[in-house]
Amino acid sequence: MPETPEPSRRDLLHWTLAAWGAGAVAGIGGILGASAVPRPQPPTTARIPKADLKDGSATASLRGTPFTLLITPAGPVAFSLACTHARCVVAWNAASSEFLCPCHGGRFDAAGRVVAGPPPAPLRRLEVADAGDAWEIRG
Amino acid sequence: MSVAKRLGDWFDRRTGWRGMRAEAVAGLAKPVPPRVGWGFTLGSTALGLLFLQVATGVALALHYQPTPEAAHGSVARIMDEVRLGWVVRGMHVWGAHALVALVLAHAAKVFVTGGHKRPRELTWILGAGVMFVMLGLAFTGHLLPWTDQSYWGAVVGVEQTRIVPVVGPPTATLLLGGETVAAPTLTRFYVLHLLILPAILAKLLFLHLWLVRRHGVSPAESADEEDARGHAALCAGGEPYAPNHMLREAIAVAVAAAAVLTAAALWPQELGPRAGASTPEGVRPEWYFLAVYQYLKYWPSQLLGLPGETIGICLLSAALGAFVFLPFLDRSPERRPARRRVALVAGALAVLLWGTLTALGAVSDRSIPAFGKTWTFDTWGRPR
Repeated sequence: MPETPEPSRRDLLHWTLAAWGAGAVAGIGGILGASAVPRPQPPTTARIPKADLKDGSATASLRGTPFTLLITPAGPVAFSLACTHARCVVAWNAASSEFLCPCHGGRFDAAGRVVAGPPPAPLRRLEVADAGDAWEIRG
Repeated sequence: MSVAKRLGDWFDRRTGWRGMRAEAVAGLAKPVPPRVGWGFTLGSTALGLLFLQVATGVALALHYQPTPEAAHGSVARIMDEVRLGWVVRGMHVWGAHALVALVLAHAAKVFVTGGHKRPRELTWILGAGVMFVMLGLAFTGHLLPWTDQSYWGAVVGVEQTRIVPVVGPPTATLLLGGETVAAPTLTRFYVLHLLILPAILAKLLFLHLWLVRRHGVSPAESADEEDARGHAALCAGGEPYAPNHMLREAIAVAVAAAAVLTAAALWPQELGPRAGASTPEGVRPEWYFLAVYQYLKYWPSQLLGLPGETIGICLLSAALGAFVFLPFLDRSPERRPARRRVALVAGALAVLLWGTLTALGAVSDRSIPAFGKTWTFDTWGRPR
């Protein structure tokens, strides 16, 4: 049976160089990659004075995304207006009593449930808390 | 001895440039296959327009400000105040459209003439890489003016990236730099558009062109014949590349550049309203993404218990993979179109499907007056 030849000194130097290169790429790549990943944003709170509500509803924005607050007989309800399909902002259509998405035709009912179109999930609900003279929406 | 000669000698001793030049000149003077004509100028015309994009892009970058607050205003100043700024921006935008069209036409021509066959498989794959990077440049550049259309186009585009299983969500997060398109996204798109994608493009293009030079332009004969007789023998009777074919390329580049300049002058690129908090009606991507946009609409939100669009994206990824690795699917050594009927019919059907989806995407959710009446099309592109 032929013997496996001993690695030469030159082989060892080649391997060392290759390991150095791989280590440098992995190390620097890891640092740069980690810095490129955004930190998850902590939940923030929006405050809507109760006096600002018109016909029991108001629209405001939380971290750049609009949401709506509705005072229903069952209590206050808030949900994000970002369509769950591709994040376009849905708009209330009084004629059909639905939220319509202008991008791909997604439709949601007044409670944010999907009626038609490609959205895979209902509009995202946000927490609402009663803060005396205002509603606090968290999400 | 003249000063020029002495200066030339001085540089030659230090760089060896005379030898390199002689080698390059001899290489460029080699004949191309006899079939090479005007149809073989599409790739070099695209390259010429790419240089034009770099030049107009640098000129725009001198005035552009990449923040959500300033971006739209800075582009408005380019249009209204910068001397000939409207022409430069028009050339950049029209140049992008022309470049994408030329690269698609180049790929189609290479497929029809069998240029992707052995030993040029890697040339094709690198070319496909160049095409995808260019589409990335088009997508990132589109956001920069921060208009209503460009902002919401980016929102939808990134969200559709998110649907791709496994790699989609982290890619979307990295592109956005947050939860939705905002200031960090504009910075990232700006860096991608000006730094990262051009660097990748330059490397891919260098390798693509290096392989084009290494293997020469594909002859009409089959890969087997090329193997047996050698490329040089199949070029016998062809014209020299330089100056004969190079002059054709130069004319084609000049015509393309003139067309871009004319389009920029005759149809100035309007700057739409600044991005607002609500999504406007009629957001749709540029023409080269319309087919994908429309295709994704046909997938229901749920199919066999799975998200429909995910299945759609997986099928689309498979189709794109088939495009990239086409040389390994279309394996016959034959190059002559007449002997590749099945492959050409398959290619024609793919182009027909793409064209149909593009047309449906263009008319969907729109009312278009034509033939004496107004046609209203629904989301799926059906006339009502």
